[in-house]
Amino acid sequence: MNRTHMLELNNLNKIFKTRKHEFHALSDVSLTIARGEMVAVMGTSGSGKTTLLNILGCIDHASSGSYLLNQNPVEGQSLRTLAGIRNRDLGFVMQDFALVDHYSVQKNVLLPLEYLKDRKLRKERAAKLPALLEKLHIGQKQREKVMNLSGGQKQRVAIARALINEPEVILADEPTGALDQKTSQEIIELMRSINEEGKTVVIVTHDPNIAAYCDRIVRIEDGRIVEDSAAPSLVQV
Amino acid sequence: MKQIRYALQDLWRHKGTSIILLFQTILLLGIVNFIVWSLHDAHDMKREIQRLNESKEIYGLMDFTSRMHEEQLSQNEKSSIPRLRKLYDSIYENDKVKAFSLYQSNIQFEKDKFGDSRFVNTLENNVFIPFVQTNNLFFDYFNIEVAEGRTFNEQEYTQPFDEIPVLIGHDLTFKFKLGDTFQAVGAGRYKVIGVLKENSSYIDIMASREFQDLDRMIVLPLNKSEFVSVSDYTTAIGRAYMTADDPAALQEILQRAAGSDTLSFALKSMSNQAKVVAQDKEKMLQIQLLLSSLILIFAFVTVTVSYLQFIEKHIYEFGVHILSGATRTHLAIRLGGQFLILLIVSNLIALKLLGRFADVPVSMTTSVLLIALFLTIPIIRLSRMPMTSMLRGRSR
Repeated sequence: MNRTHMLELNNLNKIFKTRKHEFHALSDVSLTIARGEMVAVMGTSGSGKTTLLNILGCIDHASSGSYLLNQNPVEGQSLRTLAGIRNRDLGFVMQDFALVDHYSVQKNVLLPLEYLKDRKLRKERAAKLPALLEKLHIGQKQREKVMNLSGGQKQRVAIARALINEPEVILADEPTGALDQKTSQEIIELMRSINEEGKTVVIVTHDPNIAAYCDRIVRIEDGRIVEDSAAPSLVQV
Repeated sequence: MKQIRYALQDLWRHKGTSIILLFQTILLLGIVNFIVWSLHDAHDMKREIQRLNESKEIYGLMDFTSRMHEEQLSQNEKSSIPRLRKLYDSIYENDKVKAFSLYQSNIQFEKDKFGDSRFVNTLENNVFIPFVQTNNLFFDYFNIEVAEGRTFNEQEYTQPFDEIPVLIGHDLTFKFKLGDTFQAVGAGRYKVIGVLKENSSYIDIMASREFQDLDRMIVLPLNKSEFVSVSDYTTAIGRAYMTADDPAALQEILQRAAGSDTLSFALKSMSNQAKVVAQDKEKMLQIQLLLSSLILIFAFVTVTVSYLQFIEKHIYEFGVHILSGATRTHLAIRLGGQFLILLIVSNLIALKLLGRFADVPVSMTTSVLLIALFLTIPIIRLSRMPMTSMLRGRSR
């Protein structure tokens, strides 16, 4: 496996400013994640892990420092370019699923393709939808409205959407946070299998059992990386 | 295109609000069109009156004859008709005075027999086509010309005819052709001898504040030999417009009227009457402007609030689109697309409803201004909203 840097952060800072206060959400964060790696970002609530994921996902921007995605600088890019990066290079799996309830499963999953400029690719990838849904065990739900699905099914739809555009990086923010234990295990195993297919996966979690499925754990406290180590052996979740 | 499709779906999902906004924009476009039309109309009328009075002042008659006296004239036809005829001659057959009549009424037809009733007024089982009864000076003063056939000749103003010659307006050619004869209810037969040029019109400023559109009217010759009753004379005399090199000639007519114990008149110059009309039109315009301002403010508030509410309601959906690769421009197109679709539909409806008052460039310009005015706040709101907040389903 080619272990070049897929994500690279150098001296990254994120400061939230109000009229009276400044809040350092991330301070001097440097981090590299190799292609094909599965990394858990752990930390307590408010530690800055979601802010980190938002910056990695081009949803938010850093106050200073650099961010290279697949060795290309992200900081300073136009909003349009960032939208293109979110569309082509990144897939998102969120705690609250980030699905549109009144859309069908199919429409939710195909949403990233609507913003893909290459018509040929769009057609090719849309043709893979039934197989993708089958693989995620939601093939029968294709035409159903998302609002009628269970939490586990919704997260599978979110994973399908994250994969439809074949991005190299999957970013997951507490993907099991709204699920029961059994479903959580199914979802994290799914994430692991996606990683084994070659995708780089970054999971923000506070659950050590979820983190245990990852290759590496990055721990954040008060906006600083305090630990970056290999994950302990897998334990039963 | 996809964002326009989303915009259509949004409009459909919020049908109630869409209908209210549609109604408001139709009303706004309608009233703006009407204001512009009124401004044009007032300007055209002023120019036409200036043109008509260029060489000599034209006077209309203001009739002060009491109803009781009119009834007396009708009851004593034998004695009053000769006196009225003399008064008529002193106006229309006077070498010192140039006069034309603008007597207007309707020719009535049975609706069933008339058939296609486009461009005509209908009431119950009847069809009414307005006519103006006049003489050759009318054509000179108002530059009225025929597109087909001819205008009236001298005999047609003086001799009786079995089939009364008429000129028809351009739009009436859907029903009558040159040379056609037709029978009206309770009247004689008519023969079409000419078709007027399209967009022919005249002003009858003593009777109306608007241009009279001849396209849907008939012109009859003012023919004294056809007069049989007191009212034939009183209407022809009362609707006379006159001009004279020597103003004393007009005074003589007034004196003759007073001396013949027939009708009581005063003269009013067309330019003086035009001032009164201009004041009336100005008042009407002020009312229209006030009304449109109120509707504009109301529509501005409704549209802005509706779209802000729409943004609030769909903020999470917008966030999901952003996550999937949408830009704020996509979302703005979706939002603006809704209003654009509403405006296109409003324009089509408003232009259809307004008919001759419609002005396509005015409607288009108004629409562009409305888009700029109404969508500014929602688009600013959308553009300033952080993506992270969108994904939390909150606007701040």
